Amino acid sequence: MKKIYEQRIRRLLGLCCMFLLTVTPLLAQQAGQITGKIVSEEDSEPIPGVSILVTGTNRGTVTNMDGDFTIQASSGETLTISFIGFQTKVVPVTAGQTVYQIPLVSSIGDLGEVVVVGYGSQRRADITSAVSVINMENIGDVPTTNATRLIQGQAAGVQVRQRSGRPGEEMEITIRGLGSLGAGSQPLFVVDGFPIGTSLGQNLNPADIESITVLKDAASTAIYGARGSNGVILITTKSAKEGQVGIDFVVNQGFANIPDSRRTKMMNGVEFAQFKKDSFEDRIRYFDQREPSLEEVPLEFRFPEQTQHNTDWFQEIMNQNARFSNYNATLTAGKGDIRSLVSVGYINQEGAVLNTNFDRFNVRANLDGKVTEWLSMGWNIAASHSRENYASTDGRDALIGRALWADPRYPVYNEDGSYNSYIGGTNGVFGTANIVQELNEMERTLNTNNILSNGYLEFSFLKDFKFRTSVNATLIGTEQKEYRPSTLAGTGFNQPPPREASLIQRADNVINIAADQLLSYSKVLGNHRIDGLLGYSAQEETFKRLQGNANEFPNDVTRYLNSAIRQVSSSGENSWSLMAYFARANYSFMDRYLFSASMRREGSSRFGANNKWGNFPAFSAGWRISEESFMPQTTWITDLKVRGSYGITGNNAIGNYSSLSNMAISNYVLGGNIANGQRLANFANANLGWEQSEQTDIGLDLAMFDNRLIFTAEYYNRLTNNMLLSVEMPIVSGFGSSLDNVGQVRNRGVELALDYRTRISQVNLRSNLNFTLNRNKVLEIRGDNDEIWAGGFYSVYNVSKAGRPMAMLHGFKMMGIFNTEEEILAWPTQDGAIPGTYKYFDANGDGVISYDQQDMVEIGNPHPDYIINMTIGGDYRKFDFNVLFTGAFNYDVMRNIEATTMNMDGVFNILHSGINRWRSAENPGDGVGATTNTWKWQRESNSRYIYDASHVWLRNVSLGYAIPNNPVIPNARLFVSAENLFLITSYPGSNPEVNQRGGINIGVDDERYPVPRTFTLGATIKF
Amino acid sequence: MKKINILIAFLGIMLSSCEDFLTIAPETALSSATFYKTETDFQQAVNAAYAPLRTITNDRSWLLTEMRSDNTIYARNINFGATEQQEDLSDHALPEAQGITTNTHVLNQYRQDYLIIARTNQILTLIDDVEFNQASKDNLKGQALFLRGYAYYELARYFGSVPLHLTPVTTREEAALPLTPEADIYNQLIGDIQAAINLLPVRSQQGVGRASKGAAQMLLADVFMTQKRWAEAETLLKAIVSSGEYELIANYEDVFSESVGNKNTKESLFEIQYLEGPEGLQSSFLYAFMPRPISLQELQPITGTSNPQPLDGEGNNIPTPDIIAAYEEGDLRKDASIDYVEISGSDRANKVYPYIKKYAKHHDLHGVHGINWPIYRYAEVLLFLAEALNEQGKTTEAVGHLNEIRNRAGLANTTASGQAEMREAIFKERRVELAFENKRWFDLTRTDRVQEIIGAFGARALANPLDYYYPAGNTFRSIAFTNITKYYALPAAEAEITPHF
Repeated sequence: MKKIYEQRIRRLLGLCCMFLLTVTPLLAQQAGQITGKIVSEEDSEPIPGVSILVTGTNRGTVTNMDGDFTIQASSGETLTISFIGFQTKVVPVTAGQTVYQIPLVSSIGDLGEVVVVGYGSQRRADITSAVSVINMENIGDVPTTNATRLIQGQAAGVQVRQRSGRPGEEMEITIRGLGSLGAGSQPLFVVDGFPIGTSLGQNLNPADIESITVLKDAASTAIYGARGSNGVILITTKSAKEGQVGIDFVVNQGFANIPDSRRTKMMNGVEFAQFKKDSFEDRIRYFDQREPSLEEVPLEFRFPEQTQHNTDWFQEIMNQNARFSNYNATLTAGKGDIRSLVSVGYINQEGAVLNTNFDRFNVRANLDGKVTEWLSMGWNIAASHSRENYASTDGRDALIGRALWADPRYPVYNEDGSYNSYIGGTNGVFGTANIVQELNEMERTLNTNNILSNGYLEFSFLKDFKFRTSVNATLIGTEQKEYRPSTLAGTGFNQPPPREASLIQRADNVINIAADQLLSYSKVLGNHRIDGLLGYSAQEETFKRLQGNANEFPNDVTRYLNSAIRQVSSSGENSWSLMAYFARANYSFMDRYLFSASMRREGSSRFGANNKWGNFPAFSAGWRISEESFMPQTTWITDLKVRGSYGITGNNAIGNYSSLSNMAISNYVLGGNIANGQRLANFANANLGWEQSEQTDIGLDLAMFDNRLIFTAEYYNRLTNNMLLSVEMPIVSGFGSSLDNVGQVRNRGVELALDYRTRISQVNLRSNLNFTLNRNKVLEIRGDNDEIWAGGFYSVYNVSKAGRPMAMLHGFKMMGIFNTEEEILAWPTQDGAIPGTYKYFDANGDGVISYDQQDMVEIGNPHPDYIINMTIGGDYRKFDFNVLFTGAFNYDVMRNIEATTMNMDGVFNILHSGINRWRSAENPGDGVGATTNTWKWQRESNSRYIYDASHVWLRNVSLGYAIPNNPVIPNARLFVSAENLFLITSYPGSNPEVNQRGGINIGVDDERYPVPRTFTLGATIKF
Repeated sequence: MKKINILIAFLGIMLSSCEDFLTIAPETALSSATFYKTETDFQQAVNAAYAPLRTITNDRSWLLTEMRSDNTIYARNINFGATEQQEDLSDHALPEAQGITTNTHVLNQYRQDYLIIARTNQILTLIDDVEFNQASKDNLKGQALFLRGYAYYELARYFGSVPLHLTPVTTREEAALPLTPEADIYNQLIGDIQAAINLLPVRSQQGVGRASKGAAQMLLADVFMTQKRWAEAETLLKAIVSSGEYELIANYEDVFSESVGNKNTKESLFEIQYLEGPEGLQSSFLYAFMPRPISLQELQPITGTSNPQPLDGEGNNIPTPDIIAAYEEGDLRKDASIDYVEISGSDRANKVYPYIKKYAKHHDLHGVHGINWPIYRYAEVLLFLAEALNEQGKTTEAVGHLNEIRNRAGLANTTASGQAEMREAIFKERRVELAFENKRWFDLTRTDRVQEIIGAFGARALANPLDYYYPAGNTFRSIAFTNITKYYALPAAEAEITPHF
């Protein structure tokens, strides 16, 4: 066994390499001292933090806040001056001159700028595919725990949604639309060259990030083969710049709130009692056709004005002024052959819901540099430990939903200060555990330890060749615990405590190792520029779980498995592996004609024996028209490029063993004992393969006015074929479904991005506007039966069928409210309808609204027509600012929680607007709220609960002030930031981006953790 | 181990070992490629073929049979709602179009039966290719044939014509077959059960809980009774009687399984096995049969658990006034079968509800009991024999068997005389002797008395909703008793994925 494991490791690594890092300290040579100032060419403002290096040595320094520097250098040597956002400059040191004023030219949008791409980097000018580089300058001082937030609003074609306000939450990223019905649409995240999966996780410190590149078209993602079809996000962490030495501190403190505008107004105790009283009386009026007497109303509702409590449960579970704090320290040592950057960070985010929080410790060391003339190395190692106290907040019967529908007539605490543990549960009002008590007494913790290591050695040989061997590994250990004490009530009628306590404890371990071998060649021959890459990559991941469930505890103090009377344990393990060969060639002629081709051949353990290997080719070409001699040398066109690409990528997100036929346990009892049974668990599908995307992209890059205005336009057409879909099969197969490659989905769209920067007197302004338009269409699902219905009769159906976009919202079309018996008789038959119930559309025209899916129609489109994001930033003297707006337009959300909060049968507390419900033909209400006399024909999936969710968020406003130089703190900046400041929308829920269910059940809101508004005040100090 | 040439590794050309690297078998499951090779494998495969019966009898068949009949009914809790799936079955209001219904219980019954068929097809196709002890092989084949016959018999009785599959499905295309006429389904299942009779050992030679020769004979006799092939049924039933393997237990109350003990008794020919405990093989149907909402104080005396929990929702399988009235004066079976509980949370003026007592056996923990479900009892052998004889005009011979059952119940000999009277007496006796054992509905269907009896029952219920557990001011839905049919419509979810129905 061990031997096999060793073999696997060797194959995985491809070779046995040892990282023996020798740091050779070089002796600094004697030289004269020179001083200088680095300024921006554009406005002559000094630039702090610029790296200055005596070329070919390890002598380097960084400019201070006033752009000044001092360095030892002798004549004949040259200084290499570099700074992010500016073109690198080389200045010779001349004899006698000891003071230098050096202007730097901005490189924003600069064509010489190097962009990180898959397995390498490329000059921006040479890029022929659709790649968005996130400009870190545009992000502002965002108070976030998760790096996905940095991408929000920054790139055309990339939709980043904050689906909930849960602390530490990773945002949902979709690139160029939903590309899959069955295998997920999340992009691949690659951190420092290591493909870590379709989730970034919660452990990367955003402060450690140097750059983010989003690869969108097939030409850029095909090099990631069977994981490239939903786009790729490349994240590069910071490393020490040559010559840069110092320590930075960032401190950021703040608080978060749920603003009133994001709350749902429910009835208070008096109103609810009145509502219940009215509904008892209305029933008698309707069914018995007489005036009720007061005695017929249950005593507890008979005198609503005497209701003693008006508990606003939502208010009670809020943790207003939830603390946010973040500390980061970064030590940079950019002198010497091996440069290092060490950072430590701590972030603590309290939740806006009681007793929820997330905190994390991060530490990172990034080393890189030259070992010898021909050998360079890099090694990043990062570790983190995060802890979360979470709550079950999402869904109708989870805490937020219950905070809406719980009976408001009950107090949180009894008179003696103890919890009033069981809320409701009488006279037909649904009962629930006290929500405040549950948040405080239920224990739910999730702790994660993460180690991430990236290391490489790079050999330079034969002048133009480089060979890089790298090993990446991550270890993630998660511990989860959920304890529900006996003191909590259940949900429903008749569920008061004490109830059976229960515990789940779980330990998961993931180990993921990848190794890459890359041989690259780079050559400039006159007008020809050639780059070549050959690579081999292997990766393997193993997941292990150990879990214990326990019930019935003799007390609520010892909350461990062995304290319980009943325990069940389980464990599991699964793995996947992949292996790939790839090649890429870039060729440019006279910097005008650009060609690129790549090919990846990839094998995956997930696919069937007959389909283990796939080929993922891509081609692209660009023409820099502005370089042509026929183009007039105007000053206003700096660069004009048209480009096109085509390629094939894949999606392998289908689970690990789907192509194999396995046995499953199915036990019986014989002779009073367990009789072990085994059954066939699924079909073998030796032909099962990856989902394949074919994508064409046409782009235009235009830079004008010395790169002050940069415009990019893209058109793309992505066809996903052979979708990985679980297809239902008659049960006689022994299993209800099997995974197959069927169907086709198309996403096509337009992306526009505009960058503009200008200077008006002393004000520098920059803005970025991006526009995304995506049209999704299912072209085919499977032979005879071209519809997938996901969801439920009382929630909503997401229906995917050929000819329409994926996952369209379906339900009854609500045509109004029946006012009289006559209206009901005149309408197609709705069995059980009475005046005051909803009137539905008879879609199939058979004269009957049947109580099933037959009369359901498309009632909403959950895909935004277009998405617009805008960043505006700038500075004036010592002040700087940054503002981000994000918006999505013309799409629908099913506010499914209203099937509960507008469910008039008196089982739940209802929306305050329910006061205007239908009462009688004379008092028909607002046309929205149905009668209280029945529950039928109102809470089925119907168009009444569909809302336009078009919105604009003012996501972030940051303001900064650079403190003037003083001897104590040389470089310091103060800033304030407001996150999720306000939301403009007509959508009645708290978050139009909620997308509760994910996957292909999009556009549904059952209430989730609300998104808070966060204000912070912080400082950056550099030494 | 092969030495890895570093240069080759650099270029990544390691074709020889690629396939190994990309072949990962699950650690937590067996591969089908290496299964079905030994006697133990087939033993386990047969065990798994019984497993769907656990789901069928615990969750489902009482909904489709007993609650469909006039023996039990769905007791509405008007504070609850949206549980039409059960209600539709109970009050004969199944939504149906073109012979298709969306009812999930119908679907699940259909699916569980086909799971038995899929598993037994796998066994029966492969077992002859593997060499092992012949006696053991015969026994396993016999059990597989019994189970396949049983599953098809259920399908034939519920649906009439269904697709007939006798070999494992290996491709998606093979999984959809046209409907086979009911008569051909019967021919097939009779063949299976006949073969099982020849292969299976008698009860005393068979493992406890497994299908034995006697069980197979009774199953086939049941089929023949349905087909009115009285003489053939008589032969089989007499073989069971003369085998000496079975006898009536003196006290009716002692016939039924306890949660832990009193299982697979001398009176039992075949019963579905459950195990009390944390293994996940328990039954819980007793809880489904409780009127609701029931508090823990009301529930605890019935279940005897140490950790009772209140039950919310609506009551299923609640005895009707009709079955209560069907017991003759002095019938000991009445108190053994039905008891009453007062439900404080009920909206009715009369808060007392009957519930099925037959299965109300004490156990340790809430929701987890090990009570077995009876399929065939010796009492039914005798009643079938009486019926088979009477139908052939051997009324006098039939009387003795009927009286054996009546006498145990503390009743005097029957006063019925003549074939017709005797027929009615046996029909009535079956109702009370086998009450709540899922027999009544099929007695109605095989005697073609569905319309007659359920029609009258429906009229009574609609006229007196209070007697059928509705609170004052509430009654049945307007669609109640509008779709009284002998067969169930085929399930919609399966219809969607086959071109044949």
